[in-house]
Amino acid sequence: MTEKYSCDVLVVGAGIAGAGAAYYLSGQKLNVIQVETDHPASGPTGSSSAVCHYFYLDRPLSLLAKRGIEILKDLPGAFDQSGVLWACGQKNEAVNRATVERIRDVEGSRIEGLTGAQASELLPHINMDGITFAAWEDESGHCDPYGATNELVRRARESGVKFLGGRSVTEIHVANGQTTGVTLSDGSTITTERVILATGVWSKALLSKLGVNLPVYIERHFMAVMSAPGIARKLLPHCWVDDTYNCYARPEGENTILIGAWGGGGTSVENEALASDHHKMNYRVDVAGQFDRTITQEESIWIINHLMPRSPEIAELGIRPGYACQYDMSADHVPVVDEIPGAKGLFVIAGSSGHGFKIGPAMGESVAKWALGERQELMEAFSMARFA
Amino acid sequence: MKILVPVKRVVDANVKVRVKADGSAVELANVKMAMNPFDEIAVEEAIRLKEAGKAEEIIVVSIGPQQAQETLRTALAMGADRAILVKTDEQTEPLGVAKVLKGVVDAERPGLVILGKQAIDDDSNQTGQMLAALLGWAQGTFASKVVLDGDKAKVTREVDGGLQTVELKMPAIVTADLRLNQPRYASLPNIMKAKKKPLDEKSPADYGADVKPRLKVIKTEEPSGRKAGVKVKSVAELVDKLKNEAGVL
Repeated sequence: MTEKYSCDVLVVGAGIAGAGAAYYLSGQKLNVIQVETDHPASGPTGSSSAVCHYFYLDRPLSLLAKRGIEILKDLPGAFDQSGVLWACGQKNEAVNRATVERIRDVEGSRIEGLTGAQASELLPHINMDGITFAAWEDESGHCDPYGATNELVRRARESGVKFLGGRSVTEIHVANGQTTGVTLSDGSTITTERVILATGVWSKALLSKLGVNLPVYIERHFMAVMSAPGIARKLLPHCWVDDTYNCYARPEGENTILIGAWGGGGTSVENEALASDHHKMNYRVDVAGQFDRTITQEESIWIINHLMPRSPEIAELGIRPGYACQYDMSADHVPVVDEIPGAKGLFVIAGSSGHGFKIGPAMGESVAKWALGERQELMEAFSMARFA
Repeated sequence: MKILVPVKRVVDANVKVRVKADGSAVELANVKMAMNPFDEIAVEEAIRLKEAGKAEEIIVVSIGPQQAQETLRTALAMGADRAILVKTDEQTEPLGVAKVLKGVVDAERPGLVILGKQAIDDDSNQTGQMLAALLGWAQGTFASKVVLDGDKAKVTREVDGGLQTVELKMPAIVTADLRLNQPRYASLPNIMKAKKKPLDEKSPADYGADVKPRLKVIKTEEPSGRKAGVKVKSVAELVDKLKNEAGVL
């Protein structure tokens, strides 16, 4: 059954950014519609490791993380204040120390610098050889990405946002440089002058129909999952990020530990050889959504080997099936967020490059404010123009 | 005592299966494969019996293509001692598999064969029973508990009415149900050790078994899609629909 809707603001997508936008807009006494292809958090959001920290070399990302974590912590049961320990060796020490000072003194977020010995006390089952400095965020941690996103969407709906699930936007209409509405996959139309595309990996294909070449691409990244029945929190009480072996890990409940690896961008990497390996392992996905979500034993082992030098105890646990997700990448690993040139009122949130979950709620909020005419200075760092 | 555990390579339980366009079979090209989950439970039970000192050696066997080697390596990584791949590219059926297994049993002389109660690809639930018949051995199917005592095996079976405990004279056949145990996950060091454990390659002919298919698949279809729901305006309308459309009242 096709319908004709109209609204003040349309939010496309119910990942964490779209959920954040809808949640903010629901408090603005406006007529708001949110469209989602599947269900909230069904895309990359739901398979995020959802480690939430302020530590970013880029100030805008730190500030968005600060606001994002604030929003996430307000959702009952979604946030686990496990703490995040971010360690580095001599090579990154000066930069990381300055970053901690900036985040603590200028941005006012809760973070402190520790020595390797102090880090050892927090994570006794991690070998801190060569760790000279660690950023410690005792009130940060990790989140249930699925629960948090659904709670934001639920609150938005409760406050009047109309949620259209099981439908996607197939066409965006622009007339004389002004966005006028969209057509949905079921043939329905929505008339609106403000559209927020919180469509992440799906944005590029959608915008290409308007002749816009969004500077983003998709990579398949994956996580190893370790079986640690009853001992996950004993072995790893806090989230652990390691600049020296490009590795991160966090407890998941009492029985499981997640391990990931990263190749750099937005944060620092010490091991160039490992970083180059990442481009081979995290191969590109041509069509959003068309990738293998399961991972091979070799892929699990590749991830686990990043943790082996630091914690054989964890790396030698039983290996559960891991999983892959899509990373919405930009060339400089910083998000691409902008009002599309030549389409007034059309905003896009994409290119989150693996930082998307923790900054998502704040990104959605900022872009929603921007769409309502409030200038967002922070968003200037994410402009498409930087690639021109 | 030796324990023999047959394992089958099937489509990974986490993969959404698709039927080939021509309806001849399930699409297997570029699909992730894994050990049949019931067979994992069988392997785990054998390992626990060995850890409890009730068995000395666990032999895993798979009848299938070359890639079934990966499934055997998984079992070896969990803790089995050695593996036999009976290589065939034929689409195997329970009777053919049971005949090969009889040959393996005659050669290896295990005191116990533990199998998954069925494979999640064809859901036949026949191989264990056929093997018991071919060997003339006792069988305890759908096991949720196995206790060995001398030359007796006490097997608790999950039957429709509840639980039934049978006492089998060994050697015997046990087929594993879902609640028998929670299989362990292989660790990295054990995966590495498994690469060095012995894996023999045989053919069905080595055991004098004929595995040619006897069944003909006429058609393979996906389940029909779920119809969209409707909102009813009143309880009366709901009752009417349940009565006249759904036919459940």
